[in-house]
Amino acid sequence: MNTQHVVVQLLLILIPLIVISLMNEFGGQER
Amino acid sequence: MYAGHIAAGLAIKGYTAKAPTWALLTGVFVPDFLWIAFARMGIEPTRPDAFFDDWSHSLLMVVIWAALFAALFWRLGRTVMLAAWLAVFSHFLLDAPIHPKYLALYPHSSFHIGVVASHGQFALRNWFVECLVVLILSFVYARRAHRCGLRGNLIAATLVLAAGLQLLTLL
Repeated sequence: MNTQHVVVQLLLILIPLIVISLMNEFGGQER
Repeated sequence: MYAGHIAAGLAIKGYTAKAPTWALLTGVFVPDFLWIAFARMGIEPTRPDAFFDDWSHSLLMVVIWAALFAALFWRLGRTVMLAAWLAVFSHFLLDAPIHPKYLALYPHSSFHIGVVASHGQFALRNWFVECLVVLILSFVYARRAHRCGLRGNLIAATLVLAAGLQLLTLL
């Protein structure tokens, strides 16, 4: 597994992880 | 399995609002993070002829990694710890049916668990299995998140993202 492959794998996991976490934690409540 | 793990983390989040989302989504990928690290260190070769992931993905090791990960959240209480443990352990449950290699009971074990160990031959079938997993777990998340009062547009955005990630795996 080369460095480029590692970076792609990590980004594919980390980007949705951060985006979804931010939306769910700081998105606000309906009521 | 990729989007399926995210959907599992979200479903668990639906039942434990107290658990931080980032923790659950990190938890579901702990075996993969370890696999990447072990591969870089040469502990788990990724070449198809010598593929080995028992230290990151075997049943015993996932149970241990899950316990260690859950222990990080002891300050947040037992419920959060259990949710964190389940998040890591869900990785094994979801990988078992569609992993590139049968999952070992423990490192170097001769006993293996799994349904299909060949990605090439069953790639499309596996993709539809993952779709079904994402669909069911997303439904669980949406229902629970709505009940917890999370805004509808954020639930929808999360579901669209999960579905998009699943479609991404077709490329």
